[in-house]
Amino acid sequence: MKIKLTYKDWSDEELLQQYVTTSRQELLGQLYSRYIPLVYGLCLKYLRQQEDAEDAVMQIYEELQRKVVNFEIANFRTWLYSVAKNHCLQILRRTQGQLFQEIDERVMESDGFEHLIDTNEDIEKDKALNYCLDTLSAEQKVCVVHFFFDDWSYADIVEKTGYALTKVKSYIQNGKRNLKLCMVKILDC
Amino acid sequence: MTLKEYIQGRRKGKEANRIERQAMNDPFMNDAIEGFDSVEGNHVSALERLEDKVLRVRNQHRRVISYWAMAASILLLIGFGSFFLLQQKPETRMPEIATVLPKKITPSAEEQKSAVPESTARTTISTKAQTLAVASPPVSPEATINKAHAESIPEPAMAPVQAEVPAVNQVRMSRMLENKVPGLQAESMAQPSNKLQGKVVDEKGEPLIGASVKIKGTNVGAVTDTNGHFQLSQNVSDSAKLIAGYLGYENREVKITDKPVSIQLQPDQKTLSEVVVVGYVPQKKKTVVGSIVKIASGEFGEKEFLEYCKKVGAKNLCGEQQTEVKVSFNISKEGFPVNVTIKKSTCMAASREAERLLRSSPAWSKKDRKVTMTISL
Repeated sequence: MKIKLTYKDWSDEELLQQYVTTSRQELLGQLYSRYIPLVYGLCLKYLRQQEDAEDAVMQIYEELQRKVVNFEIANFRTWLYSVAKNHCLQILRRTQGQLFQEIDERVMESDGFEHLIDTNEDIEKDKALNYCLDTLSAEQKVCVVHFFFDDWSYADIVEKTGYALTKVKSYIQNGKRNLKLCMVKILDC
Repeated sequence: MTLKEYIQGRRKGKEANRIERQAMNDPFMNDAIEGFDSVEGNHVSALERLEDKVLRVRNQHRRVISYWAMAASILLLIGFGSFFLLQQKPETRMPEIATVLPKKITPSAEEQKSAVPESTARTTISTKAQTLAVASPPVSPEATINKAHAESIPEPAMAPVQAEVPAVNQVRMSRMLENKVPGLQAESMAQPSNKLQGKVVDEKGEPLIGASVKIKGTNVGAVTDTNGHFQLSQNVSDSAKLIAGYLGYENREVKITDKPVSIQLQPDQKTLSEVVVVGYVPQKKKTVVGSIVKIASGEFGEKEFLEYCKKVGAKNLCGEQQTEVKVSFNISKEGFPVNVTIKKSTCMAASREAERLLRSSPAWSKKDRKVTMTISL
């Protein structure tokens, strides 16, 4: 019981370390269960079938038991992401032969832009930001402001503005990109 | 807030915004949310199942103990059970009760017998017999009255009483049955059935046999039986829809309900003008379940048959070689190829395929003649 109580306080890497040294199944189970929602969602995305995704989640778990021991893992989360993704892609390759990997805008743009806004104390940057916000189209501006400044969720914005969900997402994507380009331009000058 | 709560539908407020922002910088999170959004279904229960599976391993050593406990308790049960069984053996009272019953009834008849000599009036006895006879349907009252007058008195008095015994038994039987039948029904009702049932009928209400029923957006489906009934054992969300289809009828979508659904299909006017030929074609399973080649009604001769072979015939039967089969056959009066003889063939598989194609061929336009041709596959 003592161990059980402390599981929650352990970090991923601590659990992993313990598992590698003691090879107690429960430790890996605890660790993996934290990521089941993420892994399952990922599998759903690639496999598009509930049953297949569920099977894949269990297969990945079995795969982990073998792999974890052989690899030096610095960051479990990112490592698991690549393992899970590869597993799904392999399944697809086996069943489809050909594979078209869509290039995802959001993945390509994953960077710390919002960081800039949140911790921004620089007056110059503030000014530039305000100026750039006005250069955006009306919809983009509304969505970006609500999302990044007012902390509204997508669902909130859809409800308040009446735009479709996909539109809201693309306004935020494009608005963010335009803002970034504009900021870089102004601050470099 | 966790991702699990987010996909459960709590998508409003700052916490949801936090997750969405996190997803922007975290491809893992982003992919997961996209996955949950793109596929419909009860993801929360799936997650719980999976978590259960992964965490269950932990309790394996405890299980061993519980197996021991189970074995011990079963042993105890058997011990107590056999003890009670042995105790109960002498108390087999059932036959006794059965023997008591007739005894109880016969005294009353004897009483009547003894009463008869004492009473001088015959009529009172006959009325007694009558009342008893009324209670027992097998003996008609008139008959007993006649008997009472004609023959010795005790006999008719006995007859109705004897008749009463089976009557009493019948009543008891029917009561037992009355009690039993609802009990049985209640049992069958108590089992929750996850099965989705229904019936597919045509425009006149006649059942359609072999109609396909599918849950929209999934690969889960069923085919109706000879009474037009179908059953799906899949757990489905309430918002899901069923698609029913049948050759020559328009597809129809219906919402899934708890009750058995009856789906009525309307004939599709368009398909009636065509002849639909179903052939067997080696194709990838995922693309089609069966393949349908449609041939518009019109001429069908040597040229059309060769095209037909190209469409439905199996390819590369004899390896890399060019496959050719020379055949001769007669066209029957009905327009179908008969008396097929293979004159020349690249390999056995090819001749078999050619024969199969001829057998499954649509009706030829020019009938009652001999044809010799070379089929290349």
